[in-house]
Amino acid sequence: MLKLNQVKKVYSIHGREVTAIDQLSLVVETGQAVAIEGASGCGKTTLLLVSGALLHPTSGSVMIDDDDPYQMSANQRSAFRAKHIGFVFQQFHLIPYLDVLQNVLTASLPNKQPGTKERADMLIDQFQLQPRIHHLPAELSVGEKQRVALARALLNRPKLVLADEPTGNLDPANATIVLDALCTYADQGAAVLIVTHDPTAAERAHRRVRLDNGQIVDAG
Amino acid sequence: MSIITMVGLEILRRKRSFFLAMLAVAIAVATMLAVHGSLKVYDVRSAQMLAVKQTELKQRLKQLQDEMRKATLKLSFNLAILPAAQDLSDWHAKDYATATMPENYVNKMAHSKLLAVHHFLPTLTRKTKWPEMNRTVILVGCRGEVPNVAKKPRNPLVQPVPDGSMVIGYELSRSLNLQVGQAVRFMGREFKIARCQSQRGSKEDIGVWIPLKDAQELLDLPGRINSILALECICVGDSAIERIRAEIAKYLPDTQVVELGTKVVARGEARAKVKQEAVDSMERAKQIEVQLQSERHQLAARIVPGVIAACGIWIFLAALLNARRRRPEIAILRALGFRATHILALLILRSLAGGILGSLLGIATGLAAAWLLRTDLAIPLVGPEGIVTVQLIAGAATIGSLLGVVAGWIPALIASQQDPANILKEA
Ligand SMILES: Nc1ncnc2c1ncn2[C@@H]1O[C@H](COP(=O)(O)OP(=O)(O)OP(=O)(O)O)[C@@H](O)[C@H]1O
Ligand SMILES: [Mg+2]
Repeated sequence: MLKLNQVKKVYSIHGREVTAIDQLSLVVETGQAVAIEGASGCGKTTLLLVSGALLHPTSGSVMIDDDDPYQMSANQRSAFRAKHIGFVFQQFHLIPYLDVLQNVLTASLPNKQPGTKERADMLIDQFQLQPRIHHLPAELSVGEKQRVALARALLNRPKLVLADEPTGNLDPANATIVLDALCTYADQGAAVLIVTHDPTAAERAHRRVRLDNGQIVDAG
Repeated sequence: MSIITMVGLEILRRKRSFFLAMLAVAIAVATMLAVHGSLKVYDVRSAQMLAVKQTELKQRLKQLQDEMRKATLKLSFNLAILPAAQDLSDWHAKDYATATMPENYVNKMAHSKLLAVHHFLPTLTRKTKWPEMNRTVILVGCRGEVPNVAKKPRNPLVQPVPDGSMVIGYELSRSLNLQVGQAVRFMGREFKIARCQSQRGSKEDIGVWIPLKDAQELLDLPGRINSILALECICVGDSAIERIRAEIAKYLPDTQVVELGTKVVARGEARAKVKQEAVDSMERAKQIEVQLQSERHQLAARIVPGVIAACGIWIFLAALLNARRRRPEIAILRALGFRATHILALLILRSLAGGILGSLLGIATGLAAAWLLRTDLAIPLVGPEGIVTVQLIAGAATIGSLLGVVAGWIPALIASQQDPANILKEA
């Protein structure tokens, strides 16, 4: 499903070069939920963004099924993200002026499809957000916020879900809900990458990959 | 959900920052309307003031001209057209011309296009004895005035002597004790005294006026006259007499023209000068008004773009602030698959909404200001002749809406081109 081949990402800032990931190769199959572990600064987020068609690798290739998103035009890549990739972040990144339902539905805007509203309702139900459906993000608990973000990420049934420390701010109960949902989603036939510091969270994944200094030290 | 819904919701949930941008547009639009409205009000008021001044001036001028006319009436004439053969020293010595010319010369003059002269008075004058009274008199045969047909006829300046009657000078009537209505004989012919002149202190006091035809017969000079008086010459300027003289010479080549004193000319010139001065002062008032008006318009031409520019900068900064604040939101939308153009639309539509709503608010405020300025003026608020025209309102609204979009464009463009990865990593 997701194939990273000899991917290297070098940031250059003020003339100084920082190699965030270095000649990294990784294959994630459909149906797999993979935990990415590693010390802070080892390149986890970079790996996620490169995989998510948001950050050009300096070299190497990224294939999602049979598509290389970095060979596409910017607009094609946007459409590709809308259709095939879901993101969950530690900071939730909800749109502050939209309520729960509207936040979930933003994912459908660049990729209009029939039945979206029903799927949004279904996800909202699934994540027990029905009583909060017309609340603004500022009126939600942290756990609720992350569940909204999760519903948004899954709305378009993406084949690849990328979660950057999705449980980093959550209490154990909410963390369990989120991790269960991600793993279940992988089981249904998607590839899921979960960046986490939390060993108990990593344990729930189908596979654990350890990064160090931009390189895989344990491919699980 | 659509981009437009998102724009609407963002505006509703962040009213204050939107309202500030809208206010800037409103100020720009209201300024345009209010400044143009006040210019119009000023222009209308000054035009009214000028019109009042002009009517006053016209009335005063008319009064003045009437007075002048009365004054010139008493002076009666100022040019004499004499036969070319007349020796002028002789004419001065005798007070009348000895040479004669055909009476129909006066008709020629009357049909000339000599605009400077209103009336012509043909006379046949002789110093002669009044045998019946044993007096020397100045006999004047006169026919009444012949108006210049090129000019519109006016009241005659000198009353013609009715047939069979006679007008006599003050000295004669006094010393001979003659009364109006009395019948007298003159060189064997009987005349009825039609009028006794009041004292003039000149040779006219021994004048005897009879109809021209009688004088011609009595003096045995049928069809002849010896002078034509050109009355009420109102030609103005330094060489007025020369010009009239030249013109008369064109019609009557074998004559000469003598100026009879300069009082009339002086009066005519005074009158013309008064008129000129009035016209000049009116002109000056007009010029000052035109200058003030152009100064007002120039000032407005600087103020309005200045205010628009200031509001544009304000909107630009507000849009920049809005876009900066929304960086995480924009980054996540990009991650969700929004294109750069979607982000541009999201921000530009907000600016456009600010522009349109701000324009409406500005129009309302501007019209209210114009309404207050209008006060007592009887001109409509809106209309082709109104304080503000529909075109002006439409133009201001267009400029206001464009202002929102144009000033918001660069911040929106910057925001839409941001790299979402960097922002998502930061957060
Ligand atoms: N824009 C950038 N310019 C320069 N260096 C960068 C930039 N973004 C990240 N880096 C560097 O690249 C390395 C990898 O960063 P990354 O954010 O991927 O780490 P991480 O594993 O996600 O860390 P954390 O667990 O703290 O989130 C770090 O050393 C970081 O300092
Ligand atoms: Mg990270």
